[in-house]
Amino acid sequence: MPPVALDPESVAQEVLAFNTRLARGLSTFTQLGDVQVGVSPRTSVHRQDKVVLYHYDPQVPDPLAVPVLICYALVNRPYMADLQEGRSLIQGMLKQGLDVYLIDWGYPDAGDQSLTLDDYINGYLDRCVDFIRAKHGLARINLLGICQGGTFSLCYTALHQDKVQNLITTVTPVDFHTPRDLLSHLVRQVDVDLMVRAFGNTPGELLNWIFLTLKPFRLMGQKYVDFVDSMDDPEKARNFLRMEKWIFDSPDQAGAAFLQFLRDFYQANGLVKGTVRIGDQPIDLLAITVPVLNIFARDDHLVPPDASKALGGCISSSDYTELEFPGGHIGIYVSARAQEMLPPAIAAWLADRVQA
Amino acid sequence: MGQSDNPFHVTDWAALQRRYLDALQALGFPGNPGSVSAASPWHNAFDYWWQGVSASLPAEQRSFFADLVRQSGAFLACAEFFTPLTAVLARQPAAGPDWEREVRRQFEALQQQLAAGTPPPGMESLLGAWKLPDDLWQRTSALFARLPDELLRPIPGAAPLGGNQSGNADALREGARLWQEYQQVLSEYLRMLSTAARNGLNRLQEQLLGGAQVPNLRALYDLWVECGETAFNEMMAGAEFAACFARLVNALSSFKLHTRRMIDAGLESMHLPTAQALGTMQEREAGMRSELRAARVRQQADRETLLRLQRELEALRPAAPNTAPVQAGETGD
Repeated sequence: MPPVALDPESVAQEVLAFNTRLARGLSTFTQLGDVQVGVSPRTSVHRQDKVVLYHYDPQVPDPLAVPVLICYALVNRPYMADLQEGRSLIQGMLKQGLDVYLIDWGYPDAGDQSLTLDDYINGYLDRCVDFIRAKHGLARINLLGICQGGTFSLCYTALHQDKVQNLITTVTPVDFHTPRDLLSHLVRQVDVDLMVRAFGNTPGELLNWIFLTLKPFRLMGQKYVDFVDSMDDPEKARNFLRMEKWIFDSPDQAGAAFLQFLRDFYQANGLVKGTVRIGDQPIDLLAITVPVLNIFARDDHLVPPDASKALGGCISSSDYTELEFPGGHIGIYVSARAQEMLPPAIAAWLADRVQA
Repeated sequence: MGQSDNPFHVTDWAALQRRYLDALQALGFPGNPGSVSAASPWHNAFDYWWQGVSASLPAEQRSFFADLVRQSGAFLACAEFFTPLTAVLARQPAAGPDWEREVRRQFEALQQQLAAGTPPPGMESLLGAWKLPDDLWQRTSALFARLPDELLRPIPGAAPLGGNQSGNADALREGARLWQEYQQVLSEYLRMLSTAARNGLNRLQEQLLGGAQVPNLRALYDLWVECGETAFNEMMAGAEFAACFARLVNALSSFKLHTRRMIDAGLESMHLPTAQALGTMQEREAGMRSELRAARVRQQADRETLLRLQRELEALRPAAPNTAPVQAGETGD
C-alpha cells in the first residue's frame, strides 16, 4: 500500500460525507435548546459576599461521619465536578457514601478587585470550614482541592491544620517550575503588577484563551472536526455542548489575588521555596502532617505530573499516597474511566482514615 | 420532518462543487500548486451555505456553530490543497523519485507563498489553527481596549481632559507611542507564528516523504494537526517566544494603563469618581477586612478560653446549677 493512498475521487467522497454529516448535525442542533449542567441535588447552606457553600444531598442512609469540602479553583466554574449524569465526580462520591460540600466562588466584578489570597483562604474558605465544623459538631473535616483549589487547600492546611483531618489534592500545582510546565514558562516574564494595575480584574476570557493556546490545533481545531462525526446524535451533541459551556464560562479573576498567585506561585515558585505569605503568615508545607492523598493526571498539559508529585517531598506527613490517573486535566473529572476509578479510591482512602 | 423538507439538509451544493472539481480533473488539470486552492470550490460553497443557514440558528448556538464551521472550513481547505497533489500522485508510482519530487514541489511552492505573505485562497483556512493565536489575541485585546482613536478621546463633549491642552497633547502623543509599540511587538509575535506555521508544514512534508501512512483525507488532516501542534509546542517552549509573549502582554498593559489614566483625568475634571479613587477605597476596605479577620480569630480564641474556664469552674463546683455553655463552633455571623 502506498504511504498516501489518496486520489481525487476518494477525497471528493470524503468531503461530501463530511458536509452531509455537518448539515445533518446542524439540523440536530436546532432542536437541542439550552443544555443543562449540574446533576446532583444540593442546597445552599452558607453565603458570604458572592461565595456560596453548597451541601449535596447524601445518597446513602448513613454517610461517612466526616464530610468532605471540595475547594474548586477560581478559574472556570465548579460545575465541572458535577457536570451531568454519569460524568460527575460529586455524584460518584455521594454514591460511595461520602457527605459532600462544595465552594462556589462566584463571578468577581470590579468591586472585588482588591480581594487577596488572604481573603479567599483565611476568609471565605475558613468560614466555610467553620460552618461545616459547627454544623456537624466536628473539630476537623476532610478537604479536597481541585487544581488551583488544591493549592489553596495546601495553604489552608498549612495554616489551619487543627481543622483538617485528611487532605486530598487533585491535579494540583505545587512546583511551578518543572520543565514541562508550558503555562508557567509562558507567563514567567509578564509584568503582572502592570497588568493588574492596567486591567483591574483579569478577564476570564484571557486566561481561557491562554489555556487553549497551549494546544491550539487540537483544542481549537481538531476537536470540532472530530465532533462532526458524532454531532447528529442528540445526546452526544448535548455532552459536547456541556463541555463547551464549561470551557468558555470563565469568571474574571480578582486583581489582587491574581497578582499574588501569578507572582508568588507561578513566577517565584514560592510554594516549594517557602516564600509565599498568606496575609501575614508564611506558608510552610513542612507543617502539614495530616494524611494526604495526591491525585494527578498522567497526560495533564496544564499541571504536569511532576508539578503535582513535588508535594511528596515538601510535607511532613507520614501518611502520603499518590494516585496517577491515566488521562488529562479535565478527563480526571468527566471521563468514564475517572468515574470508575476516582470516587471509589477517594472513598476507600477516606474511610480507612476516618475510622482509624 | 423528513430530510427532504429540512432546509438545513441541502447537499446539492456539495455535489455541484464535486462535479466542478471532476470537470477540472477531466480537463487534465496539471496539479500546479495552489491552482485548485485558488478556486476553492468546496470552501467557497461551504461559506455560501453557512451564510444561508446561520441566521436560522438559535442565538445561543450560533457562536458555537460559527467556530465549528470555521474549523470545518479548514478541513475542506486541507482537501482542496491536497487534491491536486493526489491527482498527480494517482499517476505516479508510489514512493518513487517522481512521487518525492512532486511532494517537494508542492510544499516548496506553498512555503514560498507563505514566506511572501501571500498564501493562496483557501490556505488561509488550511492554516486556520495557526491563525488562531493571532485571532485570540486580537479578540482578547479587544476586550481591554477599543481602537486607539476611540480611546484617545475618552470623554466626548468634555473639555478635553480637564482643559490642560499642553498636558493633553503630551498624553495623546504618549498614547499613540504606546499603541505603536504594541503594534510593533504584535508584528513580531505574528512573524513567529508564521515561522511556526512553516515549520509545521515542513514536518508534514517530512512525515509524508518518510512513509507516514495516509489512507484517507481525514488521516492527512490529523497528521497535519499533529505536525502543527509539535511545531507550535517547540516554538512555545523556547525562550524567544516566551519573551515575545511577555513583551506583547506588557505593551498592551502599558497602553491600557495609559488610557485608564487619561480617562481618570477626564472624570476628575467633571468631579466624578475615578478608577484610582475607587482603588483607594477598595484598599481601605481590604484593610478593614483583614482587621475583621484578626478580630474574628481573637474572638474565637476568647470563646474557647471561656469554654475551658467554664468547664473548669463546673468541675470545681459540681453542685452548682448548670449554665448554658458557649458553643465552640459559633462564629457570631
